[in-house]
Amino acid sequence: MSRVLRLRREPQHDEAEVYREVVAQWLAVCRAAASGDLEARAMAVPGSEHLADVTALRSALNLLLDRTDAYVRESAASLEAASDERFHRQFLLNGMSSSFRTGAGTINRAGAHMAEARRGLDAAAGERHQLADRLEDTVMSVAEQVAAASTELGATAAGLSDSAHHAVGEADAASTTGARLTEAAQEIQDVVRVISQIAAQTQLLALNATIEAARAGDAGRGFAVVATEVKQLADTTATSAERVVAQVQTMQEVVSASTGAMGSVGGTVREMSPMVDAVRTAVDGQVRGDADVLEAPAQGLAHLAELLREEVGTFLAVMRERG
Amino acid sequence: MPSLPATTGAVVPVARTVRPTGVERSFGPDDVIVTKTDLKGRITYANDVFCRVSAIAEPDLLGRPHSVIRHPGMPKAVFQLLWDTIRSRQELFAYVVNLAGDGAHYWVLAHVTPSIGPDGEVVGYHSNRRLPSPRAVREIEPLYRDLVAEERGHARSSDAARAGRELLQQVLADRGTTYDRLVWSLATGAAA
Ligand SMILES: Cc1cc2nc3c(=O)[nH]c(=O)nc-3n(C[C@H](O)[C@H](O)[C@H](O)COP(=O)(O)O)c2cc1C
Repeated sequence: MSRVLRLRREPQHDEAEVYREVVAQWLAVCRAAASGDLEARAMAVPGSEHLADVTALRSALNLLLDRTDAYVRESAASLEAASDERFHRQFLLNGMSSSFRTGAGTINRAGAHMAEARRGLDAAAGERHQLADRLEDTVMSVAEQVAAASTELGATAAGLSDSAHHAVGEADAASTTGARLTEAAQEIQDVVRVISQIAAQTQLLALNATIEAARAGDAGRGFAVVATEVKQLADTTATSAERVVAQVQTMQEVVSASTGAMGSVGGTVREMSPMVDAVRTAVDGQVRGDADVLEAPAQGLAHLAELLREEVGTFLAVMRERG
Repeated sequence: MPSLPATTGAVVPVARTVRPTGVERSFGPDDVIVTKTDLKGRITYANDVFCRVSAIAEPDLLGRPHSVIRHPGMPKAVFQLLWDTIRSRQELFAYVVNLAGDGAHYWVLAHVTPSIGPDGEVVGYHSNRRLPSPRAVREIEPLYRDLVAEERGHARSSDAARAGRELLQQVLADRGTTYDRLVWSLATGAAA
């Protein structure tokens, strides 16, 4: 710097004064920055423009402040972006040197890890949604099938229960008929026994008459013919009576056998009836008029299928909700 | 806040009528162009890189509106997005072409943020600008050309801004992206 130039400068600045002013102003900037105010910058001090060391110091000081400022802004913003899951926003490394760059790199890596974790979570959520869809399909179709089957089963059970009650009635009626037949057979046998006795007496009388007729000779011939006729009639009666007894006996055997069979059918059906009713209860819920289950209404299969569908629906909603 | 030195008050704000020369200027990949503004966008600080690249001396910048380096090739819609974003206390990344004092132009990838004071209030704005990739510039240039053409078709400034903004929104919607995502996809070479 030539003296002449300095003399021409308007206004004149005392160099020592300028340095003092620089120190005072920039010290304030450093203090502000140290206290966390990164807005302050070293501004040009009048009269210092030609002082190379002062301009260099100002550049260096402002570069330090700019870098620190940029680092603070960038790290805050990129971390905020990462926590908002805006992973495309990164810490720009240009202009960041050494430890600034290292720090920026660390933040970017952390962001990348978060992005990866998010992708993993998304993938898991996707899988969960697929799983939920599959479960839903399965449950819905099972519930549908159960509902359809239970409707059919209910109808069948109702029919079965009706037929069972009917069969029991029939079996009871059959055994009553059987008993009455046995009684009738007994009466027939009694009557036949009387007839047989009469036939036997008649045979005896006919024999005596024949003997008496023979003793009477010709006069008894006509009587002999009548006696023979009477004997034949008595024989036929006796044979018929035997046949009737035999037939009634056979009939009685058949009747008692069928009554026994009917009785066992009735027993079986009677045993079956509550089982059929149980099936009905399981399918339709409580059977009307069943006092025991009135307090806690039993839930039928169809109702349970509906309940299952609802429960799974709620479960799926929660499962899908989680991201 | 930096207090403006007395000298800046003496600077006569020359009405700049700089004509673009079409000369493109570049800067170092590790250079960061820094400015700070007040709440109205008047420059309160510019680093030495800014002065060098914009070819404007510091006293001619301080206290002047930032539009001092506005290039006619920049759509109004982008600046509107800039102001809307920073006024809602958000950060903005944008590709911007600037006009230097000597008529040259230079593309930057600008990061504009509000400066928050000790009481949580916005005390000013700040911008760091970095060198964009030539590929990003190639991609963004035709979009800006279309937006500027759309805006020029309107006499009233407010109509122009609205038309530009609508076209920008439509283009972004068609591409299924946002301005922020587009800028980042070009910055990192990833899909928008
Ligand atoms: C922190 C900050 C930095 C800005 N940087 C630029 C810039 O580099 N170039 C530019 O043209 N506008 C910049 N602007 C936007 C200007 O303030 C202005 O809105 C823009 O140049 C459009 O000007 P116009 O409305 O007069 O057309 C910046 C604004 C802020 C708050």
